[in-house]
Amino acid sequence: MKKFVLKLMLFTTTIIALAYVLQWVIDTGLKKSNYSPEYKEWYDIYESKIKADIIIQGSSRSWVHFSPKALEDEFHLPAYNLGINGQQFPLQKWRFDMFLRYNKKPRYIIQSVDANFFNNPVISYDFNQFIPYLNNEFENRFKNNSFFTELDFNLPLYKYTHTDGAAAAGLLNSFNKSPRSNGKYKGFKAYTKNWNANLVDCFKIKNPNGFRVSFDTLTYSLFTQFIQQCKNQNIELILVYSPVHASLQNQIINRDSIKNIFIDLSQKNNIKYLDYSTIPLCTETAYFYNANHMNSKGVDIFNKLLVTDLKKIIK
Amino acid sequence: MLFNSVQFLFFFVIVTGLYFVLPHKFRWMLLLASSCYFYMAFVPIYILILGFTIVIDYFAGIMIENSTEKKRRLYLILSLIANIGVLAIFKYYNFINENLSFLCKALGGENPIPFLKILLPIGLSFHTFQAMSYTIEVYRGNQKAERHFGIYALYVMFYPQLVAGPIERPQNLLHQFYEQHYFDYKRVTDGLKLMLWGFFKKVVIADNLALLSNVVYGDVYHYKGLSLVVGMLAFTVQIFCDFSGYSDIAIGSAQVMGFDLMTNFKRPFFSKNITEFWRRWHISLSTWFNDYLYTPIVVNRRYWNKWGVVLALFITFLISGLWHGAAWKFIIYGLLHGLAMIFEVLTKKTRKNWSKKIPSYLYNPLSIFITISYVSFSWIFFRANNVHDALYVVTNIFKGLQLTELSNVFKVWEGGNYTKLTVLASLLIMKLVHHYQENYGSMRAKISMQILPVRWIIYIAAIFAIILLGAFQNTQFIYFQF
Repeated sequence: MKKFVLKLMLFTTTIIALAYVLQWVIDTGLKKSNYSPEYKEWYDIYESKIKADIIIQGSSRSWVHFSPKALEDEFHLPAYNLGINGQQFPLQKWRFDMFLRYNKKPRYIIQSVDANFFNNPVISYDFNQFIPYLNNEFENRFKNNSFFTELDFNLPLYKYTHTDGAAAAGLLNSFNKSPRSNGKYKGFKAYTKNWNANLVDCFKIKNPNGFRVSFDTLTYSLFTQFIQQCKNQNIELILVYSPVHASLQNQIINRDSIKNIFIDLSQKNNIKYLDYSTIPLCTETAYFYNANHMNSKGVDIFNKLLVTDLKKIIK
Repeated sequence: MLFNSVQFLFFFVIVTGLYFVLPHKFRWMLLLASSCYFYMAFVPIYILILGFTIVIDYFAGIMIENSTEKKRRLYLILSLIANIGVLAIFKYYNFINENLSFLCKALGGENPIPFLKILLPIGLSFHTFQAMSYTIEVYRGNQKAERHFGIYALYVMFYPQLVAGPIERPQNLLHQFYEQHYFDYKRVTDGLKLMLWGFFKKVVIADNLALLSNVVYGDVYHYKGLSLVVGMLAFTVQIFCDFSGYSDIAIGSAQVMGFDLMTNFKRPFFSKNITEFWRRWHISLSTWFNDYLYTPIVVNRRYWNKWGVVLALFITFLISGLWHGAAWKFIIYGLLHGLAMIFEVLTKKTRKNWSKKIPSYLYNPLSIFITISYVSFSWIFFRANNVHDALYVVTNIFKGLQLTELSNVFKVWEGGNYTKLTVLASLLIMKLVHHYQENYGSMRAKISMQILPVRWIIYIAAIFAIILLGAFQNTQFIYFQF
């Protein structure tokens, strides 16, 4: 039995040591894989690959609406879209902080805003994009978020068990020299999909009398800190409310009061606020693939309008 | 408690460690207490049902042994009624009542009998059958009545095989609780290897495939043709890896402590006919039915010649279908196998002649293909939510390729091609292992013959494969529901 216990201890130690090594290999591979469509942007951030004077940031509405190419063509300044799928401002801010740490400071930030901007900031979507980046710093910042468990951060390999294929993707991509393309151009991708009413229909079924978006004071406070941070660093912040289809906007009872917050913040801090949420295309389903996201037709029109308006701001 | 949980990992290490530390006379107490804890981790209150059948059968065994012929029979019948009664109430009551309601409605009346709002205790059919085999064997004189109540309770409750078998016989298991098991390096490592293989089949193969079959069978009306074929085949491999994986973990964990449980699977996908399939699939159940139902009917109807066998097969598989679940789909599943077995009995000579005429390199693979196709087909009824869904699958399975639909099915694998590669590689490994076992013998013995670094590489690769390539979203074992 002694022989067995000794061998077992040695075996367990080997397993634990190898687990850490394997986790490093898989994380390295995952960062360069296209297992999550967000990895390329995270890779560019952490590997200091972004040299942009114009940074666009926001949720998925940012990465499918704001074309860096359109801005580059007009202003001859490099641009990059940091839009992050399904995430609220606290995580957008985290991504921006990481960007600033590893990349050169931009001159302009276009912050995509909408009625959900100050909504519940809990991370509850797309676990996969965080897998290779779950480090101590991230844990300290988001430890109260139930989306992640302590085991995800502290037990080697555990974080891969929530989803299928992650480990295989990491292993198979660990020898890649450069990251795989995710089909986006500097974080942006427009879709040619046609209108799908499911989002609005589900919303109406769940909220037959409309919906009041919640207001998170901590997110508001974080946003005001961000405004101050931009001022301190001489970065010009521009708030842009990109189009949302009217069928969804009409369901949000307090949409005007949220807009007033942006107007108020822009006036108080002397920052520009551009609102495209009431332009005529917002009533046409031909320009959207769902109520929150425009398709490529809508995106083309929106970017032309945006560039025209930005001419007065971006020099 | 699920075998594939972190909780079980700690449970297993603690119980096994204590088992070898404790003196032999206390070990049964440890095993009984840990088995109670294991069972109560599911729904604690249901241990009372288990307790009820244990008390009944314990006293029935002693009374059968102490009585004369007529009373022996009476006590056996009483014990069987108690066991089947528990099954009837918890498993079949609502099913019977549902059908009664349907009949009453058809006749223009109303069923006055109320429905029960109860959950089926986990593994009820397994431990009830194990308990019944005890009283029957005592009645037949093949087993002495167990006088030690704790040991008898342990016979029914032994945690490795409590909730999904193998369904043990008293002659094989009871005496093992009295034997002192010393720590045997080879036996312990062999048990651990078997557990590892079981985990690999369950977590890496079965649970990844479960994602596919759940999508298809979750809403069959969304799919046609090839998508339904994929769902059917995914479930065919899933159910084997799920159940045989469970059995391997059960047998392996018992083996670590020195207990030999009966083999439950012998590579059923090598079967050349349905009869052979049931000699290789869920062996502890098929031999149970053989010993206590099929053979007695054949003996009783021996003057009917082969028609006695036909009747026995029909009844046995009808009951076998019902054993799996209280639903018509399970009855159809059982009958499909019964009819196939009857067909094989009636065409035995013709098939033998064919096998002589057709070269074996053609006959054998063809026989295996037909057998597995038929078994897969029968599992449509097993897996579908109801007979209506199953009939939809059966009638739409050959309707076109529908490749776009197929991509929707595979969408459930978040890893896309990475998961496809994982499953294909795992299936290949399983196929190679089975091929080796079928033709050359024990894979575990083969591994043991390797030098230490090679052995460790194999174990470490298997452990990492389970952690990294396994699917942990669908953890339940299919046979727990029975």
